[in-house]
Amino acid sequence: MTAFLECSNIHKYFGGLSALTDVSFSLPQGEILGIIGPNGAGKTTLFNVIAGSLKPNRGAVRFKGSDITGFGPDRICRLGISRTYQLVRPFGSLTALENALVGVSFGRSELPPRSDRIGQAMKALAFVGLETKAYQKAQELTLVDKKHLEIARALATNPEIILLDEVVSGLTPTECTKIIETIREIQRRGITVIMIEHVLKVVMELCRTVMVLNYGSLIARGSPAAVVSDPLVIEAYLGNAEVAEGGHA
Amino acid sequence: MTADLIQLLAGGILLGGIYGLAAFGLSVSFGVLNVLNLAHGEFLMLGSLLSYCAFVHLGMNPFVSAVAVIPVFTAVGVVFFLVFLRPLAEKPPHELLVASILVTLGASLAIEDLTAFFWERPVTGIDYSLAPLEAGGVVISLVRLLILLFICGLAAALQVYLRRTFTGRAIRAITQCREGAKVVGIPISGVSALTFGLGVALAASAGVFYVTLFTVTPVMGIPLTVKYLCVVVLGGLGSLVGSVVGGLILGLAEALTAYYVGAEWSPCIAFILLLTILIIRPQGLFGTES
Amino acid sequence: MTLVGRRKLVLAGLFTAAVILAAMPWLMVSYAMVWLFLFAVYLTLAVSYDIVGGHMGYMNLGHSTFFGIGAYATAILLNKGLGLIPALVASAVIVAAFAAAVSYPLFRLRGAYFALGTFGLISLMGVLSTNLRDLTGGSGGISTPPGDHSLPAYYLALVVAAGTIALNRWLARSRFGLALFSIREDEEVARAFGVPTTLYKCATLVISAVPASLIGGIYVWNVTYISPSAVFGLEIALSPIVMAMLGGTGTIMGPFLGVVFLTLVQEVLWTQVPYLHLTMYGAIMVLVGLFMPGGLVRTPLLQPIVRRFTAADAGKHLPALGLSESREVS
Repeated sequence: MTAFLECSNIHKYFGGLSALTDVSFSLPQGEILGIIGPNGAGKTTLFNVIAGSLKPNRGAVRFKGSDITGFGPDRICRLGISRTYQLVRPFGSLTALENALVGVSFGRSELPPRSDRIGQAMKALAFVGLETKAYQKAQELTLVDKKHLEIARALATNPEIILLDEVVSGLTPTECTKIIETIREIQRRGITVIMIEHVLKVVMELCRTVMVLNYGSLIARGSPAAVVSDPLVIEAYLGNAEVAEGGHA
Repeated sequence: MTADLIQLLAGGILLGGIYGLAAFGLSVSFGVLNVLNLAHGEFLMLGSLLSYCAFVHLGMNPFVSAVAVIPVFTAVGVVFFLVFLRPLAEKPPHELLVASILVTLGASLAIEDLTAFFWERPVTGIDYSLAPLEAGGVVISLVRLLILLFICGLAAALQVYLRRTFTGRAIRAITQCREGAKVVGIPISGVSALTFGLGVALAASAGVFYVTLFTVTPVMGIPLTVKYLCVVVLGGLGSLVGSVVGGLILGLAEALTAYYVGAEWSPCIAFILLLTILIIRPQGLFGTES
Repeated sequence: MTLVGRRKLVLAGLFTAAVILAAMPWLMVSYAMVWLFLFAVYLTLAVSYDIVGGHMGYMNLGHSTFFGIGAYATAILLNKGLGLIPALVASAVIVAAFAAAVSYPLFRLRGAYFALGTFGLISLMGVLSTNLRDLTGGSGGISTPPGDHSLPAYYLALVVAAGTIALNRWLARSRFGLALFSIREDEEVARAFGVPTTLYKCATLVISAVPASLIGGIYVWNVTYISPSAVFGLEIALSPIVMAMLGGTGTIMGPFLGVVFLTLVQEVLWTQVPYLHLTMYGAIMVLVGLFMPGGLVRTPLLQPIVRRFTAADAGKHLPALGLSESREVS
């Protein structure tokens, strides 16, 4: 059975610096995969390679059996993989609705008819609870709303895989719980989720599988409990005794 | 014919050195301020005219002017920064772009127009010569040699400044990561003002040399700034070596074009080079992939 | 003001303006016609500039090259015996091809570098038109077949100007316009959400070039003479852009306001003080840049009026696909 998403032997260098070294993994459809690792481990670089904004120096990315390595990010979005950003990047002076509308109008494999588009954008906003703020400029929203907008915009493209890059960073515990619920709902709708996270509580609660990156290499993969007690992983987070207790990574 | 060619190339190299020096000033300012100073070419022009006045009225030797000009124009640059650029500092990126282009281009026009209005002669040049040297049957102008050495010296001094002094390192820090520099306590505003002044002083210094070799007119500023852009893009942003190499390429290209094709075509060559490098290697010769 | 009430007011206003403009040649001295012709030229250039500069966020300071090349191409074709309309169309095609060709290298520049790079195009064209004497008549320029075309040129110019404003408005409300705004806000992210940025940037530049080319052709047909300094000079290059920015870049009303304001100022000031025009331009640019880079339309003074006009749209009525003025740059 061909894997839904597959990365084979991904290498990415920046000049002399190796950001990703021989990273390989595959993912079945409907999975919730968590990616953890110390800062600078290459997690966002991996996202960039999958989403198409970076080309790997070596290796391949395959989606539903076809090779998508080196495709432009716009093409990959239309094929069904969309993403959020660690430091939120909304279209600031556009309204929340227009932000989602960009996803609807350009990010889908099939453009919905004109009369449908605004409705579809509204649906995406409603999914994250932003429909009451649809006409507010994105830059005027609070941080947690901006994070929700990132998700709404990504969902507006009808993705099959969604890449979430540290969605809960900077949020209070209550806000965090709300987003966890949203992510669960995303997964219930059949969308495959890959999430980069530092907050272990979130990873433990949501993810079925966890991958650990350190200095650009994959050092562990398994269930959250197994990974967290792996001595290699603990050593990677050297000195952080809280890891074993399920605190912050 | 070969002697002609050598003279030509020598002139091109010299011109290139001048371009490179001024362009580096522009590039370093941009790195620190995130604002491209479209009035940069005007400062070369002003440096030229000031040097001319110093030469004609005070009998000041251009080499002395080139040094004297540095503190004077650093001050001018700092004032320019404080009046025109600091108010723009904390604006969001798109507004900053529009505002900075309006302000620097507007300042450029005003400087140019006012200078043209008050400066009676449309075209100016200094005739400064020392006894030429003879080496291996080729006549080398001593002036040109000294200028070349001076520019090299200045470039070397710059390198040392950027690497060794506190301010130099602060400049590089801000260029690499503005937020980080703030966190570490570097006074962004102060360093920015100084950097801008330094960039302006380099342009003026280049101007002093320029007027001893070529003629100067008050309206040369804007096409000159475009040439700096070509140099910076050719060489790669932020790289001193890149600016120097880019400048040399441009200088040589202009000299060769003037000789083989015709002097009226050499203003075009900068832009053609720009388009070419953008097509074949957009990050410049020494730039890195972003 | 209700939506329907506002619509009626705007339509009434437009109708009245159209009647006055059409009757102008018979109402007043011919000077008004000349002045309005130039006004239409500046308006076309300012609005077409703003499609790329305001909506898409790429300040194409070299916009007037489309005007100049269109003018030269039309002049040359007219001299070869072509009629006006074929000459205008052919010139537009040439300019469109030129825009497409330069978009490839120039769009690799961003922000201020793009602005400076496109600005360089102007002096390049100036040098080319001076040097290619056989084609362009050199610095002396060329004349086109003589004749008094001031009346038809006047109407044509008004039509082109109105058409450009309509184009601008239609674009802003279309799906294409949404893509342009997203490119302006964050090009990399726009691309990540499916916008074909390279294609759209090129297409937009070409779209902005066509009105400029047309008005350039009409200009040279009317004036019956063209030279490098007339069409590639600094003033014609910068005035429409300054007008657009003064009025409010990225909005529908902004460029129009800016053109009105500056042409009036020019009328008053230029005649009183016959020198230092560029300095005054420069000073205006510096002041606008320092104190109101968003333009007149966004100043606190005019905001309440603007809001009264757009309030009916915000949050309630969303015409077709577009979302009206709520999408303008803040």
